Amino acid sequence: MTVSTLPDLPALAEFERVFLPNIEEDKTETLEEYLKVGGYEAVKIALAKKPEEITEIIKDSGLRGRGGAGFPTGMKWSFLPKGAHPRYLTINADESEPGTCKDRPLMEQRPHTLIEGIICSCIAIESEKAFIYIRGEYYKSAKVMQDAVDEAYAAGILGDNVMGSGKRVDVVVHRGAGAYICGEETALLTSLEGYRGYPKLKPPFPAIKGLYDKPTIINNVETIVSVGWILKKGADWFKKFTHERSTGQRLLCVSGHVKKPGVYELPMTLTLREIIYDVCGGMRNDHDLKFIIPGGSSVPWVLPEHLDATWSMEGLAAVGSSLGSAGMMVMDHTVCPVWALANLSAFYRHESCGQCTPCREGSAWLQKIVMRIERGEGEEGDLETLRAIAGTGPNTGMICGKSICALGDAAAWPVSSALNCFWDDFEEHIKTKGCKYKNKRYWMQDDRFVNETYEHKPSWGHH
Amino acid sequence: MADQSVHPALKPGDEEIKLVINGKEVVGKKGETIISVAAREDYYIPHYCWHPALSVAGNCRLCLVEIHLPNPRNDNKLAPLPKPAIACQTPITEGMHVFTDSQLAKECQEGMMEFLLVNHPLDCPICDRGGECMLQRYSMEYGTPHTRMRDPKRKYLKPEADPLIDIERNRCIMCTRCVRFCDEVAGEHVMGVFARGSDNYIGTFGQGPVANILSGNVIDLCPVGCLTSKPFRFKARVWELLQTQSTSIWDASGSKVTHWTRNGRLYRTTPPSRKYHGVYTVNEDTEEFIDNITRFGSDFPSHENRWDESRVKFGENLLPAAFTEAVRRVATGLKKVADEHGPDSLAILVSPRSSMEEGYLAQKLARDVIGTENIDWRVSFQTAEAAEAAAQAFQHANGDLEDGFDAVVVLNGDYLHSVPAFAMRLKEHARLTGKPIVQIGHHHDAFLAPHSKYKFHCAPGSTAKALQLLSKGVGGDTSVVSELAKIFSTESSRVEALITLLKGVEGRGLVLQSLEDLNGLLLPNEVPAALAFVGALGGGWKYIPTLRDRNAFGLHAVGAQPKADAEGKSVNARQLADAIEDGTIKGLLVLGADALHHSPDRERLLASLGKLDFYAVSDLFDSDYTRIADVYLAAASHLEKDGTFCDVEGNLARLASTEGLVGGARPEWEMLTGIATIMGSDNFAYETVEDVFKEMMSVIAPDFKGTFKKLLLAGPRNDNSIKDPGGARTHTKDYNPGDYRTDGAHFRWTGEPVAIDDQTAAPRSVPESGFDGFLLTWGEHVQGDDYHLNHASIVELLQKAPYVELNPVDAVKLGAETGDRGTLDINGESYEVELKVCEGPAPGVVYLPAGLGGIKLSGLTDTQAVKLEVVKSNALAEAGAGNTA
Repeated sequence: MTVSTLPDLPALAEFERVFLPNIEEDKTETLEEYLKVGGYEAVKIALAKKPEEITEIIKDSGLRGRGGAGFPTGMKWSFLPKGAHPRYLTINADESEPGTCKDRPLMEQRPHTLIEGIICSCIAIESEKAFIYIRGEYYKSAKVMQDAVDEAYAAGILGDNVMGSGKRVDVVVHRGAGAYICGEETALLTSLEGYRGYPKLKPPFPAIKGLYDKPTIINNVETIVSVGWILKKGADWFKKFTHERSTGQRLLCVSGHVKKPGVYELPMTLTLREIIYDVCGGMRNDHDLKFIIPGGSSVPWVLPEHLDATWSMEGLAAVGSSLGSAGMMVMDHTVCPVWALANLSAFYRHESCGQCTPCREGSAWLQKIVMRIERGEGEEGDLETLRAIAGTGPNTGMICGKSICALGDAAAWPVSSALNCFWDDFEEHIKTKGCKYKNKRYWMQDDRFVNETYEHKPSWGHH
Repeated sequence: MADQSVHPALKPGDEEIKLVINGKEVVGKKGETIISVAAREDYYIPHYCWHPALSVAGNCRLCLVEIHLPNPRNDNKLAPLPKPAIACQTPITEGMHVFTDSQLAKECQEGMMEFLLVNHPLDCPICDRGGECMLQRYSMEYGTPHTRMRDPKRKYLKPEADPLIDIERNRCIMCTRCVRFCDEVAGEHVMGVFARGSDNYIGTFGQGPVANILSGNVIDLCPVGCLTSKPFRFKARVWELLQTQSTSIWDASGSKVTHWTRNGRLYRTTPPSRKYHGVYTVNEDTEEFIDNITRFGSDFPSHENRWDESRVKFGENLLPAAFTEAVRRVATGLKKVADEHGPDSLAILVSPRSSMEEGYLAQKLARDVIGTENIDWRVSFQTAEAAEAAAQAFQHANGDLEDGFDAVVVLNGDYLHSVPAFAMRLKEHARLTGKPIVQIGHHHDAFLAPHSKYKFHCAPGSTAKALQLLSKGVGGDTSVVSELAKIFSTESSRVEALITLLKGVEGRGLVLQSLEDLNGLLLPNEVPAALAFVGALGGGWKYIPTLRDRNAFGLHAVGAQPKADAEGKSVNARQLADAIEDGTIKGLLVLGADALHHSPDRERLLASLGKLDFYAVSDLFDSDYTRIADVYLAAASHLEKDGTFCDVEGNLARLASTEGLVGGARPEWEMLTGIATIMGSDNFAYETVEDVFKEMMSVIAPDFKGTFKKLLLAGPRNDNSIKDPGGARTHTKDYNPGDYRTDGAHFRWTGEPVAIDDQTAAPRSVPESGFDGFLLTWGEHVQGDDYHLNHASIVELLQKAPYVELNPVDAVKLGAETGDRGTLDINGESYEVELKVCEGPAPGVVYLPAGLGGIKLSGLTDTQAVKLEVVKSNALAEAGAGNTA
C-alpha cells in the first residue's frame, strides 16, 4: 500500500491533502496520535449544531457519494422519513470493486477519521447506531477498525454519552464473508441481517425501509470521512476545487502499467493526461497507452484519444465512461483487450449472486463466449451475440437496466465498451483462431484461469 | 367529488387510482401492483417467480413492462422511465401508462426467455412437465424460435432428497417458488438456494426430504420440470390423461382436486386444473394447495386386492354373484332378521367417507323401510358420550374462514394433521392479515404456534374449566383472572391481556375446536364449554369444529346418526360391539368396511361380527372385514361414483366419476335403492344419483337453488374469495360459472345457546402429579393407519413413522432434541418413537399421533401416565465413542 506524494503541478498549488497526508510519517492509528493532530474536532462542531444544519452544510458542500454511483450525500440523508426511529447508518466498507483500494488505507491508517465522520453523520441523521460492513478479506482493516472503536468507547467518544453531550452513538464492526455483491447497498443490508447477500427490490428504498425494515442510510467510507473534514474546514473549503458538480477531493487508486501506481488524494480538476503522465510518472518502460478503465472494473473503457478529459464525474461521463469508485486501471500496448475482458467477465460471472435471471445467466453466457474467443475457439456470430447480450450502452441489450441491482449492468458494460473500443482485436481473434499479443502469461482451460508463471495472481475471484 | 358508483374492482373506502394499460383506461386500488390490475383487465403479463400466494421475489424478470409517467416538471407530459420495471412489484400510480406489449416489453420478454433457455437441457420429450410447462408455453408465446447458445451447458448431479419429489436441477430456472412455499406457507425452512451466481441451485438442507404434509404442492408450483412427482414419473404424458374435477375424500377441509386417469387407472391427483388458452392444465398460479395424502394416496381403488364383483356366501365360501342377486340377498337377509327379532335388531353403519346421498339413503332405509334408529357413521370416537358431544358441536357449527376474522381461538388439536388444507388456510390468514390466533389447551397446534399471539397451556382435562372461567372473564367478572392464571401457569397480566383482546374483537371472531384430540375422550365437557364460551363472546363469534372424517358434516346434515331424542332406544356406533355381543343386534349392514376399521376397538368389533345372524358389507377390497360377510357388495370407489360431500366449513363439493364403473362394482346409492325396493318400499324410485340429491336437498336445504351439475363445475372456493386475481386467472373465467354459495350449498347451523354447569366443566380426572412420567394425549393423524390409505400404491411413503411431540421444557429435562429416538411405554408395551420438540403439548404432556406405526391405544379410556425414555441416536453415540477412543 503506497500513498504517494504529489508532483508540483500548478493545478495542485493550493491543494491540501487531508485524508492521508504524508502517511509514511504520520502515525495516527491510535486515538492518542489522532487527538494530537486535531482529531474529533469535527464532532465538537457537529454537537454544537442542529442536525438539519449539518445536513445543510453537507448539501452546500456538494459532497457526492464516493462508492461509485455519486449520489449527493446531503440529499440522500434528507430522504429519511421524519420522526421514524430507530434509524441506522451503515458504512459500506465492502470495497471489492477490482482496481479500487481507497477505503483500506483510510481504515487501516486513520481509522479514527472514519469514526469521527460516523459520529458527525449520526448526529446529522439522528441515528444512534452505525454498522461498518467491512469486506471479509480486509482482515487488518477490520482489526484496526475494531481496535479503534474499542478505544473510542473507552474514551467516551462512542457510547451513550458522546464526548459528554448526552447523545448516543454505537458502532458495530461487521466483517463480510467475501462476496462482491455485498458491496451493493441492499445486498449489504440483507447480509448484515444474516441472510444470503441478495439485493432487495427497490422501491422501497433503504432510506424508507432498510436494515431490519427500518430507515437506513448507507454511505461509503470515504464519503463519511469527507463529512468530518467538511465540518472541520467548511463547505467552501471543500468546494475550492470543483469541476462542474464534482466538488472536493477524492482518493484515486491507480493500478496497472504506470510507473508509480498507488493511492493519490486529488481534486477532481486534473485531466487524465496529467494524472497518468505527471502524477503517476508516465507509462512503464514508456510504453504506449492502450486504454484506461477509470472507475473500477465496471465502468466503460477510455481510449488514449480521451486523455484530455477531466478526471471528474462529469468529465468522464462526457467521454462515455464514469468515475465510479475511482479505481483507475491503466493498460499499455502489451495488453490483449480480449484477455483483459475475459478476466473481467470471469470476475462478474463468479460474483453474480444468481438471484435474477439476466445477471445470473447473462454474466455466465458473456464469460463463456469471451473466454472461448480468447482461447481461439471463437466463431462467426459470437461478436454479434455479445453485442446483443451486452448492448451498446446504458439500458440497452438483454441485461442492462433489467436486473435487480447494478451488477448486471456492471457485467455488461465492460463487454460493450471493449467491443466499442477494440472490435478489430476481437475479430482478429476469431479469424486467426489465436492472439497476436506475445506476452500472454495465461492460458485458459474451460472457464478458469490456470496460471503458468504465477507472476501475477489472476483477479477473477477473491479466494 | 367522489364518484357516485364504486368501480367493481374496488370496495368502498379504497383509494382509487386511474392508470392506462396498453391504451385502455383502467382503475385500480392504491397498493395494488401492475400485474394484478393488468390481469383483471385481461392483459396477461408472463411471470415465473410471482405467485399470488407467495411473497414477491422479483427475480425472473419476465414481467418487465414499459412505463411512462407524467412529469410534473414538464407540464405533466408523459416521460418514459429510463428502465423497464417489473409488473409484479411496481405499485400503480396515478396517471401511469403501462405497456405490456411494446417493443421494449417484448424485447425484455424475448431476452429473458433466451436467458432461461441458455442452460436449460431442452429435454422436453423425457420431461414429465411437458405439456403443462410454463417454459414451453412462454417459449412459444414470448420467446424466439432460435438459440444463439453454442457453449456447453451447466450441469448438476441429481440429488436423491425426497421420496415423493424428484429434483432435476438442470431444468431449474431459479424462480424460488418452492423455497418460498416451504418458508411461508408450509412453515418449514427445508428448501434453499445453494451456491452462487450461475452455479446456484435449489436443494434441501442436508439433502433431507421436504417431509411435510403439504410438500407435494411444490410440484405444482414449479413452473418448469425441476420438481416433478416421483410416483407419476414416466407414467404418462399429461395430455393423454382424462381430467375429472372432483373433491378429496381424505381431507375434510374440502380440497377440490382434479383426477387424471386413463383406462380406468388413476395416474395422479392435483389441485383443480384450469383452462389456459383453451386447454385445461394444472395451473401453476393455483392457491388451492392440497395435502400429500390427497395427492399421492387417491389411487387405492386399483389395489390388487380389489374385489370388483359382488359375492354371496354359499356354505363356507364367498362366491362371485351378480349384483342384483347380491342385493336381493341383502334385502331378504335384513328382512328375515327384522321379521324374527324386530326392526331394532338391525343396524346400519355408514363409513365417514360415504357421500351425503349414500348417508341420506341409508338413514331413509333404516327409518322409513326398516323402522329403526340404529344408523350411525360416528365410528372413530372413543366413547358414545363423545360422539354425542360431537353431534352437539356440529349442530352449532356456523363459521367459515372465508368470511375473515379478527381473532381466532384455537382449542386443543393437531389441525395440520387432521384437516391439513384448512389449517394451512387458517395460518395463511393469520400470517397475511396479522390477525391474532390464541391457542388454549393441553395440546396446541405446532404448525399454528409461530403465528399465535397467545399460547396458554393447561393440564389435560382442564380446558373446559379454563373456558368456563374465560367466559365469565369476558362477561366482566375479574375475579376469575387469578384462577385462570393458575390453570395456565402464567402471570395474571397475560390473562388480562387475553380477556382484553377477546373483548376487543368488534367484528368476527372464530372459535376452532378439534373433535379429534384424545379421540374424543374429553369432548363431553370440552364441547359444551366451547359452545358456552362462543355464546359468552357474543354475536360476532362463530364456531367451527373439525374432524378428520371427510364427510362428517354431510352425514350429520342428512341425519345418518340416531336422533338426539332416540337415546336409549337406539344403538350407535360406539355401542355396536356391546349390542352384538349381548344379542341386541342380529343383522348388520356396513357401507364401507373402513367404518369398522376406524373403530378404536376394531379387534373386538371384528370378533363380534361372527355372532350376527346376517352381516352384509359393501366395500372395495378383499379384507378381514369382507371375507366373513354373508353378502359382499362390490362398491364403486371415489373415482367411479358421483356424490356430494360437505367439509368442516359446511361447503358442498361434488365427487365426480372419472371413467365410470369398474367390473361389477356399483355405487352404493344403487344398492340401497335396490335393497329398499326389494324390502317393499316404493319410495326409492331413483333413476340417477341426481334424483337422490334433489330429494335430499329438498329435505335438508329447501332453499337450495343450485343444481347437482353446477355444483360440480363450481370453482374451488378460493376462487370466489380472491380479491386480487392473479395473472393466469383471467384466462379461466369460464371455469367458475357462479358463486355456489349464493345457491345455498353452504350449511350453517344454528343451535340453541349452550350453558355449562360447574359439574360438567370440572376438570376431568387425570393422574395426580408426582408420578414418574408424562401424561399421554393423542389424536388421529391423516398419515396413520387407514383402511383406504393402506391400499394406496405408495402407502409406505405416505404413512409416517411414529413420533411424539414433546414440550421444549421437558426436552431440556430429558436432554432430548428433535430427531432423537425414544421409547414410550403404553399399557405395558414399549414402542420406539421419534421425538419432535415443539410448542405443541403442555409441559408434562406428550402428544402421540394415533395410528402411526401400529401403536395400540385401544385400551385407553382416559389420559394416561406413560414413561418416555430418550435413546440418543446410534450414529451420534458411535461418533462420540470414536472421539474419546
